[in-house]
Amino acid sequence: MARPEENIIIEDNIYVTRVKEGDKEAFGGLYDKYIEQIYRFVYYKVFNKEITEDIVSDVFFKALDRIHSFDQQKAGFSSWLYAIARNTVTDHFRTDRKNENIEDIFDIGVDDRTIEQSDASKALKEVEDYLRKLNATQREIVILRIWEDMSYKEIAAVTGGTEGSVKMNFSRLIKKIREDLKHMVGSGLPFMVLLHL
Amino acid sequence: VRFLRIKKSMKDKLEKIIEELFTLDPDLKDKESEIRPLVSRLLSLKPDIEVDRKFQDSLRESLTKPEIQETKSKNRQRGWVFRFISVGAVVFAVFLLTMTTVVEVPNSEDQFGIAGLPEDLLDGLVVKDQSPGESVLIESVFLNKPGFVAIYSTSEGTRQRVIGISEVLMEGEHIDVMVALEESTEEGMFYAVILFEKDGGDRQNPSVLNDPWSEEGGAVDEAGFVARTNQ
Repeated sequence: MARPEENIIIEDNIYVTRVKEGDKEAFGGLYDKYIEQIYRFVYYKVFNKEITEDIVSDVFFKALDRIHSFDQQKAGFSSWLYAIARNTVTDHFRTDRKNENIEDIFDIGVDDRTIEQSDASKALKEVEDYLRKLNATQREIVILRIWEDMSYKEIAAVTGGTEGSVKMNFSRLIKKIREDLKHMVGSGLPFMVLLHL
Repeated sequence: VRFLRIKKSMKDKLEKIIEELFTLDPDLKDKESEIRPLVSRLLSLKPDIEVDRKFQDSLRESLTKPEIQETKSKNRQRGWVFRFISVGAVVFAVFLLTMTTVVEVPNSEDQFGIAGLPEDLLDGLVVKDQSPGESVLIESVFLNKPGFVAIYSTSEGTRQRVIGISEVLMEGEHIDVMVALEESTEEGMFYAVILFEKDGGDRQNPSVLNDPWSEEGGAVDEAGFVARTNQ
């Protein structure tokens, strides 16, 4: 019996084959399945509703345009779609900032990302502040492994690394946060309190 | 009931992540009392984002309605064609301007980027499936700064090792770039091609080649091809 992850891949491949055979409505099945995940993935990177909607539209049109070149034997559809989303976010910020390292969107100033007042709720601000403290790789791991529950293999396919490097980065991230907090404990605050700062 | 379900789902996820972490690094087990609340906190920080229903429905309609789909797809293709025609026109115009001393040439740096090309032209490369062999043909490369191309063997969709690196390519457009390989490509295998904006000195730098999309890597575009005969 196929595992749940395998079932997802089989189901995606059926949709992909149908789209390749000319059944355009079948793309709607893939869209329904991934729109929320891709939307969240993009939103966590840009923290702006309008920019997210622009990028997400672009991602799905690119996927539709390129689906005939997508090889089901080489990667899962979801990893392929996330990789398109990741590159589209980078391209979006690259256009005006050719000389900067825009691999890391968080290096771009808040004003440039025009975070909307309506979106900048206290909770979102807290999340954004927290993510800002991490480097680009660590941020991606938090988003994909902890929040989106993706497997290490899927994350590796999205980020272009290996499964081993993703696992290593994940345990390093946890160690780093723990060490940072321990460091702060030394300043007198209890560990559990620091977790909620 | 919904709240309890969410709570249970979060608890299951927490246990799964904790278990993974202890497998990855058994030393962390001694610090379980600190690791558990830390991961729990990371999980709880996940923002509750909902997709705008109107946007979701409208995008779905655009993607699945054949007539809208075709129009948008054609527009996108026209966009690329227009872009290349525009670039050609600009290059030709700059060429004409530089050939005459009568017309005053405007400061191209103010209006255009490198080599008179529009500033919004992104770095990129085009490569197609090709017959197996000891070299790879890259159809076109565009760079805003000097760089190079590296060819990687792959396994299960993951890059494995570098099997060929191009000469240093200067900024601008390059057609039919041939890259000699250290080992021949094999029938039916997929190969990744990465374009770097990096100095020639980085062509053998392992931290650049092994982690191209890292901050140090400097990768600007990625493509791939399958080696197959009769291409």
